[in-house]
Amino acid sequence: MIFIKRYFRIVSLLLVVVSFLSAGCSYISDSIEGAISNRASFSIEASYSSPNVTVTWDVDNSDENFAGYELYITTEVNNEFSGYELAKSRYQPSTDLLMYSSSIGSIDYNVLSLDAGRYFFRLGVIHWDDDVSDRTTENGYNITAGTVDEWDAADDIEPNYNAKTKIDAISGLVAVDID
Amino acid sequence: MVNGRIFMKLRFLFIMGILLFSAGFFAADAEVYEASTLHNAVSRSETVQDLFTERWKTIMDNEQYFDFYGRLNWIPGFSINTINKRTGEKESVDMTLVRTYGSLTLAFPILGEYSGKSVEERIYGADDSGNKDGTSKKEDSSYVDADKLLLAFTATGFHYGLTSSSSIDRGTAGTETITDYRYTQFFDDIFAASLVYRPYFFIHGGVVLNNQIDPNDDGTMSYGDFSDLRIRYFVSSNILSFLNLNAATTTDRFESLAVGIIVNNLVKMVADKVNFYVPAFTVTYKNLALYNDEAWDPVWVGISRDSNGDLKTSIMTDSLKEHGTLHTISLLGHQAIIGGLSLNLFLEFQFTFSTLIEKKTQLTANPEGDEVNLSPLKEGYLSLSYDFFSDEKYNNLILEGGASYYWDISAPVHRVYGTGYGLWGGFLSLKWETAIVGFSTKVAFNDSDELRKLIEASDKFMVDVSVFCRY
Repeated sequence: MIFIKRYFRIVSLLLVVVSFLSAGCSYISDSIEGAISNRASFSIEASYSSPNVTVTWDVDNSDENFAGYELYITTEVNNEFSGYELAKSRYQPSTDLLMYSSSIGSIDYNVLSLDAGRYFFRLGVIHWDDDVSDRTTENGYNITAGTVDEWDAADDIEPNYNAKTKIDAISGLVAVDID
Repeated sequence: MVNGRIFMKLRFLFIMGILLFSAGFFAADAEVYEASTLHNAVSRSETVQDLFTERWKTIMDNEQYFDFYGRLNWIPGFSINTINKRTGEKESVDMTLVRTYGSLTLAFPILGEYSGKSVEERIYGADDSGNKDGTSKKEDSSYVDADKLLLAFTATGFHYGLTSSSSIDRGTAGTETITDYRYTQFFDDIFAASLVYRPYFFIHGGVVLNNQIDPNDDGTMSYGDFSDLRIRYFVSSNILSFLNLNAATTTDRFESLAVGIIVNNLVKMVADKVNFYVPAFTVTYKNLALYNDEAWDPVWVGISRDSNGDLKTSIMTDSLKEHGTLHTISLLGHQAIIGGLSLNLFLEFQFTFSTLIEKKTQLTANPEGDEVNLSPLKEGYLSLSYDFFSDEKYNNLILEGGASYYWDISAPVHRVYGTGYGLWGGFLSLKWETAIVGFSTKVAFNDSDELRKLIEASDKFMVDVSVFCRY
């Protein structure tokens, strides 16, 4: 009886172990490193029809910490290894509610002022640094309205956005040739 | 719509680089990414098996039933020549080689019972007496009571590949950094089962999976879309605590064999005890099928022409490839000096019965190339370590530093300074361990232990951090 109990226990543990180990430690360790560094995790598409570049994406973002999207463009023409600068956000170059709607998957960006050449675009999914319950004055948020030190929609303002958000996910890069 | 084909097809770049290499193109400052060791699945299997064996030594020395270990390693300053698709110009881009390593082991007693509430209790006894060398429980912690047969399962994985970083200026919201995968990413995994019945024997057996995945053009990864998968089988064993036997093979070819003798444990079989101040020696012979006329090998085996009389190329068929074996004999010594101070010495000698033609000597004026003269000394290192808490049982703070020498045929291709085959280097590490958790960090430059895993790390600084959790 003792042997049967032990045999059953070993087989059960074996099934758990096999299912866990089958993931492969190299992939698990890679995902841990990916969580530490900000890696491209989804793809976007882009097309050019003067004077606009249209960027489209398909990202499910119903997270309560979602703060908006940001579109980035390379600072140097014809250089895929260049750094990026902000092309469009909720507040830049002007307030654009389309960059805050979690249901949209497309945005137009006017490139009339750019020199001809190849530019690379990326999309950032922006999240608040903290969960709703932790967005307090003590944690550096500017709580301006409603119940004291309790976050509500009225506190979703540009100063808080600039100070207390981060890129939660970044897209892969997509190239667009502009005439 | 322009779908950014920012990266040339990965294989095209590699073939470009390899063909240039085969044609005798050689940059003394190693700008072209040749990926020799990365692509060599034999040396990759050796690396992941060495990591597996190294971790299991700790597991058995501490009689653990559970072990989780993770390590992150960064080598910045990989200068890669890439072709700008838009302009057609060659550009040198600095990238970072990222390596991650993880290991998980679960052990179950199938004869005997779980014993001790912790690693500390199992080694030093429940009466909490005794000092660090284990004299409260047994004369020597390497010779344990044969009271249980353990069945264990281990998954060990090693990922490495190049990444590049870009800054993102979010305007008034600040600046952040992102990273992208560049070129082939390598995933090597071991899945093993083990039987441990110390001190009589232990045996590990399993499969080594060498997997390669090319990033998508936009830098994202499709993990299920691998470009090359190779399977190997390995066995690693020890008999009577002194004789190590390890072997690895593919489905159609033997790849490596290692036979080692832990001299002090052999002596203990006939003597009551070995004096604490006698150095612990291990002598190991290895037989590695390391040279296989592959595109990424730095040498041709035999002569530079195939059986048809044509010069060998990187794209010749497998039937025309020849195979060569590297033999090594190594000596590992460990000596406790005084207090928490100890010394480690390692020497490895190499020889081959195969003729090896160095590819980079195949110039237009010398298409046959020159034979390689292997240095008798392949690797050597000397390190000193000091345990600041040497009087405590399971609370170690160990500072270790060392100097090393490593010889490799591929070294001239990858090194940044100089053109020779031998590299001098060293390392400095700090390790903190308790009975349950531990942390370590290491900085190295041309350290032989790192060059053995990755010759592409030549003349580059490396930073390494690791953590473990055990029971």
